[in-house]
Amino acid sequence: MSTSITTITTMNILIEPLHYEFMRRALLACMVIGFTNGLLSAFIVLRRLALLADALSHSLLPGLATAAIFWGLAPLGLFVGAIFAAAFVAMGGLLMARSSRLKDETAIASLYTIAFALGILLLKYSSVHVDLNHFLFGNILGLSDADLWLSYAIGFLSVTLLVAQQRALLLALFEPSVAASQGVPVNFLHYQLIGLMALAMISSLQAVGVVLSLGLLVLPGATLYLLCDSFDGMVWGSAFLGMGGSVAGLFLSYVFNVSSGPAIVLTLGLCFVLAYLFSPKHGIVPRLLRPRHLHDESLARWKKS
Amino acid sequence: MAGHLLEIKDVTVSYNRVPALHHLDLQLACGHCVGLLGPNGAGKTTFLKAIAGLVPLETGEIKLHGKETRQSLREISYLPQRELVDWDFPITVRGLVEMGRYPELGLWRRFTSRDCEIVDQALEALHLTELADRQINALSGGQQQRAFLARCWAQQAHVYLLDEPFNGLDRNAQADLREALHELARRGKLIIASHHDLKSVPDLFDRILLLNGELVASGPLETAFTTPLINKAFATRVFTGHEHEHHHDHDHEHSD
Repeated sequence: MSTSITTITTMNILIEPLHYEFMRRALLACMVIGFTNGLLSAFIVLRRLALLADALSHSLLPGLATAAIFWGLAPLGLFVGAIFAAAFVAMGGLLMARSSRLKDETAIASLYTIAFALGILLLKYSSVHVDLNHFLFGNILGLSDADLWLSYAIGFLSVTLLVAQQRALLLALFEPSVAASQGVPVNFLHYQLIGLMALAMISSLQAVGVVLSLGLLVLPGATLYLLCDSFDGMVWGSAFLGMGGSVAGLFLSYVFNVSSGPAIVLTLGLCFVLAYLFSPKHGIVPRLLRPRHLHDESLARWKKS
Repeated sequence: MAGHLLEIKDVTVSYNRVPALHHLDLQLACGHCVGLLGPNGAGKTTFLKAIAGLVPLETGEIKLHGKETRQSLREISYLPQRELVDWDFPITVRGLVEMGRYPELGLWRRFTSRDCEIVDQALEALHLTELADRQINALSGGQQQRAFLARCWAQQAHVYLLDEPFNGLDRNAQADLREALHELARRGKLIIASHHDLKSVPDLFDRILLLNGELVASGPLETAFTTPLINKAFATRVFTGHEHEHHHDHDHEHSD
């Protein structure tokens, strides 16, 4: 009896929120955004772009602020503003690094803090009242139709490109110089990845905000990196973990009545910490528990004699 | 057999207008293991990259079997220095070897049974069949090098370019790799490997190529690996071709 009652309540928890239109929208958005960002995160982790992603997420702010000043809160305006800001910081940083003795992480860090500070100041002059919290932490429950269509379009574009170029990307990620000798356009793929990263960030902006969008773009890939030793496994695993984690986080936020952005990122964060601790091959707990013998064979031989 | 040659004609490669390789002219016959020797900065890596098509040629041309190499990149394979490889990358030995097929397959074509066969042959040829499902970090140094060679094999490459492949390998791993390279040479491939330990040269290679910004010597060990030629390659300053134009600069350096 008691188990069936628990089952019913669990079902209720899952179904009840779906009576609300805003929850259905949020659920769809979570699945699309989670999947796209998760897929990208595998490439970001392998290409070691996590810090650049961080810089990009902060550099979106001045673009959004400028767009809000000129066009108010129209999604297309915000989109264009964010793209320009991201391009300015990412490409500007790389350009600075190539044309001087600065290394790229220094150039990009300098540019993005400048951009972020500029963004905060600019928000003051925005014609409409813009809540900084909304940019910083997002609000997936208040998604408009345009926001949803934007995430679908970005999701479709990213998944198509990444799947089509999976092999070329693997070659370029693993060993750029060899890939180049085989005729793979390594530089083009690199810039394209940065471009897709900026797009994915814009699509997750409404859902989890500027700061937390980074979590969606790094955590699934980082988790799978600790769990699996095959490229395909890592890529698809990250995509599905991103989707599953976002959906689970959304439901948890409903059940416990907390903001959805942090709930989503914390759910993914929990998976990451669990993988770090308990991953069968690369986790620290199994490593500590493993017998101190170097080799299973030698242990077996030692036990026999 | 006359066609089985890698021909390097009047090749000059420059970085920022300073030549690193100066009017190189030589021919290498396939089926040999060639040691590429010379002091630091002699242009060994540049030489390998020039053949691999990774740096533009300022003058001259490189031909394999009478055809420009830049039109048949598949036949040339380049192995990076071990330190440049991310050994934690989530990929197995089989996955690594399969990468050798990708340039042929392009974006969409599926992996066919023929590709699988080629991958199996490559694993077989380099004695990696049993290790195929290991992650690349769970291999010894010699096995790691063999895994990369198997990838070149799967690419059906004819020329293998290796940058300091024996660096950081212990004696067993070194013997392991030497066997693999000689096996490839016996099967008609051309191996060119840069190397800096002169003592092990007779053990590892059957041809050498002495570089010093320009060509010092090239040929079988008996004629090319001689003390006067080695001294010539290592004792003199690396030839940059700017001796006369930069005379004033050098004077300044001395007065400093």
